[in-house]
Amino acid sequence: MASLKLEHIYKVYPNGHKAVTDFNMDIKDGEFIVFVGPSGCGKSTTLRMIAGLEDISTGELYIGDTLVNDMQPKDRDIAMVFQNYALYPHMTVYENMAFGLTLRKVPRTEIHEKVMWAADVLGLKEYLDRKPKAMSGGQRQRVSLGRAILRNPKVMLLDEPLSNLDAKLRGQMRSMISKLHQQLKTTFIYVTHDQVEAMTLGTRVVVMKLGRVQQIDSPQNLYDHPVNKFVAGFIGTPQMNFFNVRLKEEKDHVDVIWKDCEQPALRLSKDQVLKAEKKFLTGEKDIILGFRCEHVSAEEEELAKGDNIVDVTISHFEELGNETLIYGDLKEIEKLGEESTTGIIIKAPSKMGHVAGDVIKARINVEKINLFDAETEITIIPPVPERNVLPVSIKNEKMDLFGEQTKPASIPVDFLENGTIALPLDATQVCEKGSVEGKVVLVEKQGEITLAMVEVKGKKLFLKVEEGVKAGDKVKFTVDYSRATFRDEKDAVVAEPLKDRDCINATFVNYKTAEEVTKDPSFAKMKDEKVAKVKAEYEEKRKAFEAEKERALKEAQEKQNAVNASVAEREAALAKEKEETKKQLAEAKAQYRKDVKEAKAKHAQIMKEEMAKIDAQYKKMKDEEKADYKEFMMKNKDPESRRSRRTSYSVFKESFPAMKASDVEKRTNSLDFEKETELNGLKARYSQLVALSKDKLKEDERKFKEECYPLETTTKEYEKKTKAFDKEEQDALRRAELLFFFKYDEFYQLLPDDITNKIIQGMGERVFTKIFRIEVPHDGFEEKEGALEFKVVSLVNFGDVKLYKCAGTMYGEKVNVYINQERDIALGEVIHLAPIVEKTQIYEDERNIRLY
Amino acid sequence: MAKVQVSKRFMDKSQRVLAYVILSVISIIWLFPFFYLILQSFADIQNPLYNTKSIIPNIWTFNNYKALFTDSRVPFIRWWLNTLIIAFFTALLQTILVLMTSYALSRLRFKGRQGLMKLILILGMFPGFLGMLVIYYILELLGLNTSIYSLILVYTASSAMSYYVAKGFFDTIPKSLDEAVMIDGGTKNTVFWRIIIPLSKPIIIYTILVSFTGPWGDFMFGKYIIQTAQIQPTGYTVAVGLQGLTTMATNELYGAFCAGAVLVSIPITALFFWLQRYYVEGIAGGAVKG
Repeated sequence: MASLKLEHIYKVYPNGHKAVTDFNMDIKDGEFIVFVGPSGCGKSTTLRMIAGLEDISTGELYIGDTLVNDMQPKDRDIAMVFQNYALYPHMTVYENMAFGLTLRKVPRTEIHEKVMWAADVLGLKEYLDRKPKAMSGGQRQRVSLGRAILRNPKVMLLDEPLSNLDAKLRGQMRSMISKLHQQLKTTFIYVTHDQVEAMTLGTRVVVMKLGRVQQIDSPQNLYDHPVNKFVAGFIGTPQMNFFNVRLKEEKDHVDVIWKDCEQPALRLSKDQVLKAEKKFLTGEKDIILGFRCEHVSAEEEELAKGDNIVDVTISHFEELGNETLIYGDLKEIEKLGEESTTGIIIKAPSKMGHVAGDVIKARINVEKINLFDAETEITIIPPVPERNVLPVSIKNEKMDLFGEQTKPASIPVDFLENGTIALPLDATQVCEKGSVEGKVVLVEKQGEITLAMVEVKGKKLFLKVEEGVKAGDKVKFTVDYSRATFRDEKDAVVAEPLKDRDCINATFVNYKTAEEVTKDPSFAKMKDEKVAKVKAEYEEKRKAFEAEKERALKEAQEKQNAVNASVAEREAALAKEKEETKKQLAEAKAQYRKDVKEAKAKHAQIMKEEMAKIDAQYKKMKDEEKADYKEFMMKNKDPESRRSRRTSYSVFKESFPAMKASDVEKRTNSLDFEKETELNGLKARYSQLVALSKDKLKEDERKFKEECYPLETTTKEYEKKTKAFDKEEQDALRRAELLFFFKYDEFYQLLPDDITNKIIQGMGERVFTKIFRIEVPHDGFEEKEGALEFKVVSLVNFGDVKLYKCAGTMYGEKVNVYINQERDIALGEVIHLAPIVEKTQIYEDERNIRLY
Repeated sequence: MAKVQVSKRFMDKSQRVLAYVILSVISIIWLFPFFYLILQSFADIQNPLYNTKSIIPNIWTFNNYKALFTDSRVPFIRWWLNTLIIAFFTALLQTILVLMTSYALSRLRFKGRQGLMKLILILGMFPGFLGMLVIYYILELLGLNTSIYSLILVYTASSAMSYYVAKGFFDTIPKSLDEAVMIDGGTKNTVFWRIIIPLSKPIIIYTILVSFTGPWGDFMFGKYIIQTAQIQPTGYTVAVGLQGLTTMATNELYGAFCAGAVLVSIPITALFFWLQRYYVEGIAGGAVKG
């Protein structure tokens, strides 16, 4: 059992095609994760990358706390179930399941126990001696599951395991997998294109499209709150109903107007669109309205509620037995022509006496609707809004946002009337020092985030708050105006936010190049220091190792002295045991041969009897038909019926041999299966016996050697250990000589090993020829001697946030960076800055990938 | 109604008869030389009363077979053993090489794989005897031209080129089996020896048969090396030795040639009958969906 962490995982093929783009996810221990999406969306590729069957182009994959990018599949402690089962056809079910453990040299008794356990869990006990070809699809997939679970892996990977099964079996297997997950409590990752499987199995579902993650959420949340139109349309059968609409905010409600219509069709309460930005509610933006078929109703009691009623022309029905889907078109938009989509699906208990062509009334439950921006197809009412958009006015160095206040000097806007300010959710932080105070109106929990709507002087905004905050509480928060976007009344941007990161370019160089180019002796010193440190470390370790070796050898010598007297006696005992085992095995072999002979004879006898039975049966059938025909011909004189009888008799005669042959073949096949299964069983038990006694003998021999010649064994053991230790030391020393730097203009910065590894792994041999874009956050600079030279130009004051603007020159061009420093710096001072690499983000633009 | 049925049945039957007639004629043309060879091996053509015009001999004898084992000019047993040794070792080495090459080309992805496959295809189109002269010189340089056993090297050298059939077979074994092995804890070696090979019995048999019959019946390379290096008759292969019998001044050993030709076919037939029980189809059934 283990958790998984996928960080910025990309799969880029040599032809440049990106199968997976920037996949990020934390999977908790014991979760059941389902990857779902249409074909070609990268779900299987992601799974195969986790399995190690496909290389990860860039990014990092952790299973537990171990980075497994470069690990072989067999070392990752995972198990996988394939869509096409991938059973070994020449092995029996037992051998198939045991194969993995055999390769891992698990003791035979333990393997046997585990196979029996897995067979018991999956109901396969009676099939253990069969070969895959003698089993049905469902049984084969159970074997495949068994093979996976008996290793008790950290992670179970299932690649569309039910796709090859028929619908009924799929249902059964689904509940079996679900039960298995509950029983094993292992982390499951399951790939499917079937959204029913995704919804029923997953604790969390990852919806993917074209290599990108669309949404990661619980099945219910995916269903109720899809983040975009794709997810809304993909999840749920039948598909969600979509219509093009506009939204217009009125005094106490919001009107939904069909696109190109005048009259409002539906009415929403204002609470429903609280999280929507105001620009969507002006009646000018195109919106996609989505609702599910169960949220439209044509039933009397719903219609009686009176509001949000539409006319639908029925086109056809789909009767599903327990319910009926009514397909129709919205009458109001139908009139408009072909431009808009008009199709609507309504779930009803029955046809309710309607026929195709009828116009009926239906009520839309507007509380359950989804709204998407038609341009981006992203929801306009997200569970957690990305930003707050509030009205703002600026005049005479005053800003009217949360009441009138002095405009922070750094806001580059002098005059704004009826404008808006957009603040990312993170730009407002609740804390004691906050300069703005508001009253909590309502609190809701969205996953791990507690979200509060806070009212400040008549304006409502959402804040992330700590758990425990209640409606009615007062909270203080800070506002980071450096991240605000100001727009005027026509929605044109008047001030962009300051970027949260500054970009600088760098190249990747190794120690030799740096030394060669700069002729700076400090590089050599740097290397020597690193090597010296490793050397010292290993000297220490070697001392400990040698001491341990000496002690072990001394102990072994003592043991040897004590045991010498009894060696001869034990040797004799061992020889005797060998002799006995040999005898036993010979007996077992004879018995096995006898059993096989008997079984073969038995089956030959059965076969003979069965064939005789079939012969007799068909002979009887033939005779009866012949007699019947003769009798008919004798008694009947009507030419028409005589002719028809003659034809039917000749048809019988012609098809008779084929009928018999097919019966014979069927019987032979099933008898052959039985025979093969029995022989397989005999063979399996015999080889199990042989292997067990051989194992025992081997183990006894090993014990004898270890106990009677402890000195020899220990010496050998330590020879091996010494070799391994030497190799480890050499490797460490070789690694210590590898030093890599980022070269910013003329400044070389030593890179820590983990970041170096990531960059080299992501770029391969091209690493030295590319330019990297380093994005440094404002607090990601440190002052360092000899680093990049900057002059502090100004102090930028955004109210709660103060940044120093520094100007410098890099690669012959002017560069500005904003830094957030603890100490006070005088304006005009020249400082030397170096990025703190751990805090930066590293990109390579040519392939458009993030490396760190 | 009934009439139509009858005429259709009649048509079917007549078509079948026609097909069998054509097939019979073709098989007679094909099998007649073998048949005639067997008859000739029992014919006493040295007898003055022998009727050379008759297909079925009028005087029967075992002398031709006897001559093979008794006549000092015909060291048939030596030829037979020489050929058997050459064919056995060639078959052994060639089978291993072909299977390994096929596995590599079917399962591993390496730079130049496609190019290599095309190159081998093109090289295979050149008749082998074009290189005979050069091959002889290479053998001479290596000092291997004095023995007929150098043929093992010659035949084995190019064996990997006949990877096509086996590769085609390996391609049909699902790749997910390899992946299952990798996850179960195996390596590429495990895949080859414990999955691919047990599943490939038919193709292994085929490869053994093909690589055995090639050297067993080859005449050209053997003749060339023997003639150029002037190897003694005891060092001949069957094909070269028997051919020598027909080019003698008199035709007194013609009957022995026919008898030898019949005996040559025995190992191949035996090999086939011994191996054919493994030559079962559908061994891969049940691996994956189906």
